[in-house]
Amino acid sequence: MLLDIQNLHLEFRTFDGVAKVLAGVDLQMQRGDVVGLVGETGCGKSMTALAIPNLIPMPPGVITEGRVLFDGEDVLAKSPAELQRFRARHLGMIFQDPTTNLNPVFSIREQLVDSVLYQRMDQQTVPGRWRGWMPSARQIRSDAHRRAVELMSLVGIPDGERRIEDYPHQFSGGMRQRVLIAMALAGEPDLLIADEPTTALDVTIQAQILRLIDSLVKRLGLSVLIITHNLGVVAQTCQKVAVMYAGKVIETAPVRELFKNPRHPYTQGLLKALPTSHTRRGELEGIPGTIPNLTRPPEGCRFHPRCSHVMEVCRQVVPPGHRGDSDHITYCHLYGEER
Amino acid sequence: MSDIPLLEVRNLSKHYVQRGSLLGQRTDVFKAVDTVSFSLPRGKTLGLVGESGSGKTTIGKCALRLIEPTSGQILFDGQDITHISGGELRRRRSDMQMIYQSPAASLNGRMTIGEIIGEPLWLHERLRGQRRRERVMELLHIVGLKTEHYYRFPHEFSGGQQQRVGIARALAVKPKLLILDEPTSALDVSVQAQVLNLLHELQQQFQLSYLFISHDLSVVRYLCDQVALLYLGKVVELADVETIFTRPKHPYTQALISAIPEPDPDGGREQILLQGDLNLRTPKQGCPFAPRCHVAKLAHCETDVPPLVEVEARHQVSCHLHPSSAHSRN
Repeated sequence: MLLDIQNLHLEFRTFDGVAKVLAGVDLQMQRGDVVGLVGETGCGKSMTALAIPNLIPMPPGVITEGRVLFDGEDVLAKSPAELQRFRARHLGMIFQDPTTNLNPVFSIREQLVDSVLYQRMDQQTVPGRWRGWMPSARQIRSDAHRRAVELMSLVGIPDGERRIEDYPHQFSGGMRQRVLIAMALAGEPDLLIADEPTTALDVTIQAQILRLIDSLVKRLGLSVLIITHNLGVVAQTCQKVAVMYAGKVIETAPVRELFKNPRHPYTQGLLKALPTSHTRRGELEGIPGTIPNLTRPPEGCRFHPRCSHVMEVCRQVVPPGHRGDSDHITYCHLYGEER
Repeated sequence: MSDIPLLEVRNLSKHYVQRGSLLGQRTDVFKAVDTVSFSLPRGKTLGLVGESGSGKTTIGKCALRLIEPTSGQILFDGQDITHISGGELRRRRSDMQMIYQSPAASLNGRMTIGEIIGEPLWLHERLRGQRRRERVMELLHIVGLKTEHYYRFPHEFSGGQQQRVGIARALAVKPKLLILDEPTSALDVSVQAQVLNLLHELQQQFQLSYLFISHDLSVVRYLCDQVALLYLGKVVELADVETIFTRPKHPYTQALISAIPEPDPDGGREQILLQGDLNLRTPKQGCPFAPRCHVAKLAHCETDVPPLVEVEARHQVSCHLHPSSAHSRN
């Protein structure tokens, strides 16, 4: 198993009280999986992703319970130096807004070469007496430059040799996102975490970027965790989906199964809220109510105040996971009793 | 009377002059909106769709005269409002209101909800005191908020509720036309559905006409009667919503529709992948879409601007591949 998040609890100690941001997240990924993590604003999907490289700001964040296992190793127990190496070697991350994640005053070459050098950090330390044996700093730099140009062509930026000298403002939004993907791939990672990779982009560009991620999965054998609120993106790119609500994964399933046969009332509501080509005007169903305040989350199942199938047990007991057939796990009291 | 469209825009253009060098010798004209014409019938919804930079918001603001158009005519209710000013314009504005994309940014954080919704009532109708309070309460009720929200501040609300406040403020002056600039793109899907339903109900209840600006095609399909697709400030296709989605003619429309990720893993639809991106510095000549066009190029694509022609009843396309019967050359 590549990634195994077990019962992760995260709290933020704020002035308004303790916000229980994650309340027992479970998520598993195999090597080569493309997993979608879906949910609305504030459901904790980005926090789950940040827990994998242990990047949650602490304080105010406190992980009170749970483990994050990557290739069997507990990420949360690593020392800062180990963590740095782990992030460089095994992880790549891309974010929503490609503009703010590039430094406007450095050229792409400087930023891309930097990230290549960063992941080769331990190979390039040349202590005095080994200088003759090991490659020189210039050699390392020119190797890194060659690799950077290679990465540019890998992510489909034409004419990389010349464009690498350009500055971020000379690139369009889609091209900037490609540059960031190139940076994330510099360390030949096992897992690419894409946090809303296409939300800031236009649909035609979104299609290009999703196609690119798809081809990288095939060519490099990457595993990808795509975090998004767009169910369409999930349906088109992922193999497995985990739906989150208010700090908990409430349903995981293979992508076809989830869209054909959603079991959790929240997932059902989410799918009904999307206008499709068959929806008549005025027939769109929203989910009543709003997401709960996480400093005072509802007891029991956190979805129960908005749920149309609410039962007495939902108000008191947190629903356990119920495994139906074919890896379809639902955290809801509606399922499980009968079996 | 009711045959006259509520809003009619004729050959609307908005050009921005960009100074090329520091000394201002070389100047460049950027055509944000380029000879756009459309009309919006009463009680209907016209969708303006396009990618970022296509000029859709500029058109919306020009229609309200929040931005002065460079040329062209805007007719509201049959009256030319392109050159009116002062009190006359202000009176006209009470018939047309705008709702913005970011509800948080368009509400003043230092005013209570009651003050925000009440302000246009004072400005346009000089209402105050008890009568204004009653009207605000009524408006809160119409958009699905509660009376006790009157003394709250915007930050106490969720995004969906804030957008409802924005809608209530726009409705306060009993407008005939609402310009909705991406009203749901900052909202989550479950909340988006609530707001879309509210907009639909309000349209039925008050006979409103909407100019709906959006980049989300599935929302447009759900809410609009007619759709105008924009590319670099030009209308490339204009037709009824069903026609646009079932029989798109322009290559750009076809690509855009095929690029919507459908929430169905088996939606085995062939995606048309466009090369490149929307480049604001397009060649001055020819079809603005020509550099990205995936269909076989005709010789005059890069030299002649295709005119917007009616290829069939109520279906206008601007593409050399679809010349109208009257204009076809060979």
